[in-house]
Amino acid sequence: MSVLGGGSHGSQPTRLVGEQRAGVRPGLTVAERPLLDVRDLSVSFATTGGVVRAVDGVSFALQRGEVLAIVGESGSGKSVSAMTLMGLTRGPNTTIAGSARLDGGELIGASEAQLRRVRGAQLAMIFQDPQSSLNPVYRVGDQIAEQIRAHEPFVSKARALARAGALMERVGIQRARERVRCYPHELSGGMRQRVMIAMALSLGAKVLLADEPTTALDVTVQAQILAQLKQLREQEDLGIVLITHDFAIVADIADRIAVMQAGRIVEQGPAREVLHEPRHAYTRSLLEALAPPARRVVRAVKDEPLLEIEDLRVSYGGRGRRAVRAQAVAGVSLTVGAGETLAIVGESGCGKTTLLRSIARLVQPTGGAIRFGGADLLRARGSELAALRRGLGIVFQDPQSSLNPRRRIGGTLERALQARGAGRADARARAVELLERVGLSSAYAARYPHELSGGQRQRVGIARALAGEPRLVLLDEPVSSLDASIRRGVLELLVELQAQLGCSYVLVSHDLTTVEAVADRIAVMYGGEIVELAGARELLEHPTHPYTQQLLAACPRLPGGVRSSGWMDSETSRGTLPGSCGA
Amino acid sequence: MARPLPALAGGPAPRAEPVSDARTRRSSWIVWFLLRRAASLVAVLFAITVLTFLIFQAIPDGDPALRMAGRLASPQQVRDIREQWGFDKPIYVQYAKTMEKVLDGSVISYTQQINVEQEIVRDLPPTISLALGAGVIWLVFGVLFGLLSAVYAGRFLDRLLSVIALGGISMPVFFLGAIMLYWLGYEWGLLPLGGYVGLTVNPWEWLTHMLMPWVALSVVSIGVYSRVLRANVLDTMGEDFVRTARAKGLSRRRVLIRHVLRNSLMGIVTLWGLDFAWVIGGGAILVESVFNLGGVGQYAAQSIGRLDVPPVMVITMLVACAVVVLSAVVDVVYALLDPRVRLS
Repeated sequence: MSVLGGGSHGSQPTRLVGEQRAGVRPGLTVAERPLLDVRDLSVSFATTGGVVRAVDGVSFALQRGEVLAIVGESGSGKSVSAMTLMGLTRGPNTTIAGSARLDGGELIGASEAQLRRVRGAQLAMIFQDPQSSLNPVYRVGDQIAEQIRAHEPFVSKARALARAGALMERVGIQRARERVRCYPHELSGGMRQRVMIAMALSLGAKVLLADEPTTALDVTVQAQILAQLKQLREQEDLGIVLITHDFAIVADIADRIAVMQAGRIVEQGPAREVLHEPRHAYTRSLLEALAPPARRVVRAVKDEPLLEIEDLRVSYGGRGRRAVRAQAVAGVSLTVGAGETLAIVGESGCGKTTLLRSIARLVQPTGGAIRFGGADLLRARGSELAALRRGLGIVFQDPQSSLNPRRRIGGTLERALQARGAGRADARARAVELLERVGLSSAYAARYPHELSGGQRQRVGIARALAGEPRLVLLDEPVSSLDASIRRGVLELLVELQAQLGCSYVLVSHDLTTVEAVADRIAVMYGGEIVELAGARELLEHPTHPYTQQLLAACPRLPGGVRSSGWMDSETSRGTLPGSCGA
Repeated sequence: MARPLPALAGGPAPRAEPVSDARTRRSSWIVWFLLRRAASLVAVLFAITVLTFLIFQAIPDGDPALRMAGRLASPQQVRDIREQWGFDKPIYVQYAKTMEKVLDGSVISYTQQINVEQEIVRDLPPTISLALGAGVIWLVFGVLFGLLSAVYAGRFLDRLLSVIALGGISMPVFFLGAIMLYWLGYEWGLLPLGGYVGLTVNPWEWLTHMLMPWVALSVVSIGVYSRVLRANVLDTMGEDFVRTARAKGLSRRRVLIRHVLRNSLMGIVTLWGLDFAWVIGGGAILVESVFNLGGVGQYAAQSIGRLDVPPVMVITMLVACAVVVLSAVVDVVYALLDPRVRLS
């Protein structure tokens, strides 16, 4: 397949599924019928605001043992497509058209009873958040057994449970036979997703629809789950439809990639081609967005430290003698200079968020000291604390839940300003100023959070943090709930704001990719302690601690060849640095 | 800087969680929890009896000796009564004496000089019959109507049930009771006109006598419960695990009962426990009076009218016990329904 021009056409022809069927894929005979054959699938929902076309003429095919990745931003209709195949979007307000054949059997027009026999047995699905996807009140083994017995009613409960244990073992859960009796909350996130996969495999399904299966997981766990899926594809000849917003994770698992935008597949083809020679402008823009902004130059940090943390300890747990106290932060010491960005990286449960919250005085540490601008932050009370807090701004992870849904954006900002002593009229003027500072027009002041996109909401979150003209801004996973394609813009904004305002950042993230673009120094946390702290470049290029190395290795990355295809600045000369992961 | 961490050697998943047997862990929790609750019950009873006692001391014109002596009594007679009943003693001595009698079961009411505890033991069966029967009725019908409403949300059945529920909630018990007594009891003669017959005396009579009180008491609660459950069920239906259950190929009924309803019942359990305790403690005064059941509520109402401290004390303690015990039961049931809940 040759590269067709530079993509100056407004309407790029999609790579037709027909081409694939005609045998473009090597080793595929013309006569072979695809395992899953979706043609012209359209889904629209009738809402009070009119008919919404979520999926608009989508066609794709999946062969046995093949991984098809459907990549798109949130709202592009990729999840709706998968749910429609499962018959989960049916309802009085839904109109579904087109055809979807699984091994020759039509899914779209199938009766509910027919579909029920297909669901779980031939066509299985796993979801984004394994925690909420498992019923919290039943043991995981029972939940798997329930599915087995729903399709094979003559299997005894004990027999089904034994099969559940064997399945859990097969998907890499250690001590699976004991863990059959665990409740979902007693398992880690990775194990929960493995349970979901075990459930999906329990009846020998031919096709697995994986809807953002690793988005809610830590990087190292994500790598394990992806490896697991890959292994299943090879061993069981399972066809996998992997739905994701993140190109980086599909690079080494997908055979073919379909890119979705606004309900349509705009480009479809073998993974290498789509990644190396993207034809459609939208695909190119998605790939470009993945390149992080140029890594920040090493800057001279002023001598005077703004924030000093000494041997900070935070424990959680019950009171009383018998209580077991868990140390979330176990003796952390660090300093942040004026105008510096310190990134704290680690996986969930490593204590990074607790550390950040102690700085904001949202958590009371059990030991150690925090000095902010020379003042003792932990002992400050009353007006002194209020004054210190004015010098702090916080940006939270999920902009959707951290903005009051019933208050207009302007109102939220005005309140933040008033809380820091601004008068009413003054607050109004400055709210608009703040909005413009984060790249939103003054018109947004009159809108409600739900009228904004995720990226815009996070910009509002940043604007709110800047209300008190803080000297230090605490950023708790500021981009991890955003689509990969809009992360870059928010990160660039943060860098820009820092240059204008000269404030310091403490940025907490589970993702080294986020961090490398903005951090001067990076601290890696593990089990409540900082295991490695070094300049960003040094740490990413020469990680010394095994855990840091492991984190870097787990980062999904696009294949090296992609870099030379010109979608990324070659000036950044990243070469094969491990630090360019996820980019 | 790079200190090796022992847990890291094993591979990328260093979390080693113990897989202990959840069941044994939970049952020992329950024992500890119940012991702690029993201790708190003692504290609650002490506080509530002191308060009740003090309130009656503070009521103007509440001097029990004057009331017992009657309107035409001489000062000497009043003094005698005071001395005889110990009303001249300091207040804490009076409290201690009263409590002593309450606890050994010999407390006597001021105005009628009847043993209070015997009276309450006599009044408990109707009240417990009322609470149990009505409790079951409002739970079953509340859940049933709520579930139906949620399943048919927005459609005719849902609207119809909402109207009925609202009607039930706004129906005063004395009005509904009077209507039922008039038509079912008087005009058509289907059911007896009030009163109580013991279950052991005549089960059929017991049932016919209790039927109207049960319905009268349940109607409001059915309305409330069905609205609460409807909202809970609709919330739960949007949960991810319900989507998973459907994706597993389970039948609609199974998804609804096992996955949706089970997770929606939590709020109802709390509500039910407290409402039940309220009825046991004589909260259904109106129903008991309208149908002349002679239950604890009726007794409480009469005693308060007479400013008769001992019965009020005992009934207050009964209410406190019922509330504390039932909320402990609710917490245990809650923990059994939801394994994430720890009893503490």
